[in-house]
Amino acid sequence: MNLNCKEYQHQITLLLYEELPEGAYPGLEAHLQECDDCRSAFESEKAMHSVFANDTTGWDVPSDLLVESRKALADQLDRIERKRPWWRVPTFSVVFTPMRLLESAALIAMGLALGVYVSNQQGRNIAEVVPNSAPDNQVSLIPRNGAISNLQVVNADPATGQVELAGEVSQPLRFRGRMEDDVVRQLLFSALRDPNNPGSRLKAVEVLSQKPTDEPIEEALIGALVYDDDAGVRMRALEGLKKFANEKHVRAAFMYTLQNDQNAGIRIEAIEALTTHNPKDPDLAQKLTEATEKDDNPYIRTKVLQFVGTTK
Amino acid sequence: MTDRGCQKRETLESSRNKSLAPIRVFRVLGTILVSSVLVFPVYAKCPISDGATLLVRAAVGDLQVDTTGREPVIDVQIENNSIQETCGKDVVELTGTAPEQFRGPIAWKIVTPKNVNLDLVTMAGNIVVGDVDGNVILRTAGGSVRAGNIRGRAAIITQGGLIKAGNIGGDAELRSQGGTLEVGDIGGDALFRTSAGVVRAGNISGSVDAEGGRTITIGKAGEVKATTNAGDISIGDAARINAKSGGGNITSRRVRGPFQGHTEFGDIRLDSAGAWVEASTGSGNIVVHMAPEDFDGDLHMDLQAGVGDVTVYVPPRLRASIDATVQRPAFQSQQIISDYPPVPKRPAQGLVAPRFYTPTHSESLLNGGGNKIVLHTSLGKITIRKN
Repeated sequence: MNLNCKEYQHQITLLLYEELPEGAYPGLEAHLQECDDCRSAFESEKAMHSVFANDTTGWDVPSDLLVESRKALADQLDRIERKRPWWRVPTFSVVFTPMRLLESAALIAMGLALGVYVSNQQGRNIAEVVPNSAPDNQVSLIPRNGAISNLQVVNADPATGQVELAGEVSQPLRFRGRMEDDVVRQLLFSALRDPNNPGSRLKAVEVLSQKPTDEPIEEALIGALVYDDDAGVRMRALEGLKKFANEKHVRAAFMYTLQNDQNAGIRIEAIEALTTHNPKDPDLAQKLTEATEKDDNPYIRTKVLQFVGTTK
Repeated sequence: MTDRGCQKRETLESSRNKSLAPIRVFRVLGTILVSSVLVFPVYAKCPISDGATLLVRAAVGDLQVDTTGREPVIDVQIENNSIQETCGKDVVELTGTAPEQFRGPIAWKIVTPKNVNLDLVTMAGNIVVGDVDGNVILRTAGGSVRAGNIRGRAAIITQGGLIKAGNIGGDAELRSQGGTLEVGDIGGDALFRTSAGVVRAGNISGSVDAEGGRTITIGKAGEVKATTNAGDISIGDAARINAKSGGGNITSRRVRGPFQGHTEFGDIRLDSAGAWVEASTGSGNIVVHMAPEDFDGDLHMDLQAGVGDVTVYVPPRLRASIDATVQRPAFQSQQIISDYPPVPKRPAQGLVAPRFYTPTHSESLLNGGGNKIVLHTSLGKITIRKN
């Protein structure tokens, strides 16, 4: 490995943290194609990076943490700089040493920190001028992997150079948490409300069915059983609620399904659950008789007759 | 017996009948009284030969067929119902009518040798069958069906309820309006239909045509056509795949021939694609590892993601023209990452490169170009790697 490789491997680190200047991309890419050592270093660092990235999903990192960290690093480096004679300042040094590389990185970080800081200051200015505008850390609100759409220029002042923009940002979401967490639940409930994605609704019902004892979850599953357009989702919700077919709300939902669901398979599962979990219940027998009188499925009608027989 | 003998016997029986008449009346009255309280099972027996067919038509009741019988005879026991049997040489037919009043669950308990064909129908009830060497047709208007290993062909149909079977030697047709379909290995072609259930099958020698309401999982098969309204489609190994999901992931460990797949929402992942691939997702990632055995075959690829990343692993030996486009790039991240150098593009007649009025686009030629590889995402990242 020569000195150049070390430099490129340092650039790899910057690349993975999305800190590498755009001008350095082509050189690094070309080198990675030629150099096996650097490519393997890139792969291993990328793997580690992705492990870290996965591990941190779901953490709520304060948006100004990066700025503060960079500022602290800059201050610290400033103090080092002050102790050093002028001829050792990196700009004037012609020798590439590990220290020099570290200093270069620190300079880049300082530059970025300054940029972000200045942007934040500008954001503050806008916030002061325009009432009800976005919070002061606007730049950090836009994730690098986010996509911007419907961007509009709300205000542009040629005198000051200030521009106010509005639009929508969408970005991929990955979240990890326990079923008891409110955010997890809210996300699952919102998946249930996605009318276009039956797969996401089905998976949400599958996950929620693991904890059907909680009242809001039971309510969500009943909603899916009664209102979902997709037969698979309704069936999965019914499977999740089956054990509780003797409870008032679940029983009512199953009766509704029995009378209204177009899918005979789901109606059959409903009557199986009702008769299994409410044995010898004369009140249910009467309701089932009324509800299934006109059912076109002979199994359902027979099942009711048999159940009525057990209650006499 | 001679005619005289018969006459003598009738005379004797007639005089005995007269003396026993009061006892018979009591016996009949007693039977009526007891049977109104207790229910006795009805029995029937028929001889059956190898390869003959047992045909059951039950108006109601569960059918339980025990195939461990050692004698060439069918034994039937029915609770709470009557039966009519027709014992033919090739076909034994058992018919039951619906009772006027239900006194409890109706169950047909049938014992038969396993080297027969079964054709069982119940209008309302579950069916349970052991291992069978012949062909089976099992139908119910509602209820679950469970079968052991079937050496011949199998057609299992229920209007609602689970179908679960072991290995099936010939072709298999499994249909349930709402239940889950679960089967082991299948020696012939397979057809699966359920509108609200899961489809789960082992290794299938022939082709598969599956329409499910939820997840479809197949171990290994020839040609596969799989469609589900909602849920994942997972196919271990197949000669060819055509898969569609209304919302769910489509994955395959190995597809030896062409692959066509579309999901409205979900990922598509092929760990080893042996021929051409056409995959699209409304929202989700696409990952394809190309691993062709025949580099001279059609190896074109068309991978389209609405919102999501596209990643493709291309062997360096392949002759290909790669065309990658990111329609709406992300705010500040790299959109196209490639192990293969892009073909440099120069703007015409001294103009600046159209950075702002074109989507992010890259073209690469491998070994002088050839198979067309089109990669497109409206919003996401494209990665092209050496395989």
